[in-house]
Amino acid sequence: MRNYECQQQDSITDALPPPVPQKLATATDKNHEREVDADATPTRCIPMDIVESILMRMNPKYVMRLSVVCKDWRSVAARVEQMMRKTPWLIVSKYPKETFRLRGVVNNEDCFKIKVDGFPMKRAMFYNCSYGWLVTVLDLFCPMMLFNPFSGVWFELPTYEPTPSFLCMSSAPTTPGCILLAHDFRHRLYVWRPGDKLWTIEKGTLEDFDTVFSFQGKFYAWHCCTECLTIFTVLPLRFRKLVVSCPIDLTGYRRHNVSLAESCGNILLVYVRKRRRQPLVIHLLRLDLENKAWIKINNLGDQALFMTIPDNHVTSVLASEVGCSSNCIYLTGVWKPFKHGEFSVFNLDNNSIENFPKFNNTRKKEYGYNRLWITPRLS
Amino acid sequence: MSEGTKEPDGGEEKVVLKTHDGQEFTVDMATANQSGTLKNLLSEVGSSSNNPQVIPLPSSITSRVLGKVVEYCQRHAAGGGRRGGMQALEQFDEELVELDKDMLLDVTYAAAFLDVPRLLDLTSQAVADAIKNMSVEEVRHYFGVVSDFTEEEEKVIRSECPWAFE
Repeated sequence: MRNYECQQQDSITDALPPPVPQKLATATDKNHEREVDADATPTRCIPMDIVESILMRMNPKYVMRLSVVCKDWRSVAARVEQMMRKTPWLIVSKYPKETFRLRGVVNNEDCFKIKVDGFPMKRAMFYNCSYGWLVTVLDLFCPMMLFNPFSGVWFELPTYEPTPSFLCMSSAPTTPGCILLAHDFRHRLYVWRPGDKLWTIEKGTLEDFDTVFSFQGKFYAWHCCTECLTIFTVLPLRFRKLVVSCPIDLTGYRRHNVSLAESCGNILLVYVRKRRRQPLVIHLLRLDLENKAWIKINNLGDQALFMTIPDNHVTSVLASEVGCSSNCIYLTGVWKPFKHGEFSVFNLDNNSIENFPKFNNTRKKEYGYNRLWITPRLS
Repeated sequence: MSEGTKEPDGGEEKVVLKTHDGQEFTVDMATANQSGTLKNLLSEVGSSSNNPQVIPLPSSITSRVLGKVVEYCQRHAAGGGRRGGMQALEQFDEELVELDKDMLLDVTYAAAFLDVPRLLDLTSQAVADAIKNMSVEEVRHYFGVVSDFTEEEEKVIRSECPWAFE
């Protein structure tokens, strides 16, 4: 065992604390009954903050694996897992393969695979992802399913025919306050909470909208052509409609994607537009609720947005905490990649776009792939 | 690097780092300030060129280990403006962590103890890279850790996320 004691030699020695780490993984058991064989590996004290510093630099797969090293490492891995929830990974599935490929954005060569046991992957396509959970509907007559690829846990939501379409959820479906919203072609709203055996169908209906999201206990829905923002709560459905002027001219763009997002307490609207043979255009707006207006902004500051197209949950992260580029929007497409990249990074500083191709860089059309951003969590 | 005392040059403030095995490293304040621990300490007690403070270090930081840390701090105190700029500095960092296992872990501990955050980043990443393809047993051996899980407990944890062990 290393000796961490400090020798008293000098007048200022007292000022230097002895470097005894708070918690040590020792090679003896707690009662010291069983000393480790002296011929075995030389024992060493590993301060747990150093183990944390090491695990923080590994991908979720390795961290999970190393959580069985010993009990102290397991508690460190649990702490690291809390941090991992903040870092989005690109999750790619290829129908009908039974593995997911995950790709990091900090070091984009950091890649690992997750093999799935028990989930009917052969029939599943994933269109949405929120709070570490993938959403899938096998067909119109099968219930919606939620699947966490990291814990391997999956469950079916109540059956209703035809199955409503997923809209959004307010938090992970394992957290008590979660509300999951779905709708059907008749604009009816379906509500599910953890533990519910049935969908609750709201009596009122919402008018058309292009994007919906949940923020601080309320839902917000935005409709581009009527400039109508609906702020609502459910169970029962109560809503307030506002006309919010939007300085974006949508004429001439047949294809665009619009998403509501939250960043640093602000409600944002992100328009991603593309004209043939022209560069991608992104408009970023901030909601000024008092003046009922969307205000154009061109800076996210230290934040970065992770956005999947079409309309999906947008995650805002503090770039320095995650290690990605700040003031950037990380884009991927569920159906179609951007250009030939698996994901692209749009830099708001200079409106430039960088594409990250697949490693083997094949340019063949990739059918049957699903790409989404996921923040890994085990529950 | 472990050549003992270096002569202070000029009237700059200096500080002497003394390892457990008796070696002394005389460094300037800019170098010492790369370490959060030393910076805090010196802000309280001060130091001068005529009568530099002697700071004794714990036995876990041997002169060989301290040599590496001092080398890093000196180079980074000078910044990227010297000897080929940032690129050279990056290369220096890369080469600095090309160490054998024991030395790498010792430098990691020293970086944590002396609070040199970027050196800790560098060595932690090197350790992470070294162990990432190892099995659990190999990692235990690497760190000299013995599992305190029972066989059953370990089995349960492994069954919670089988994909991590493939």
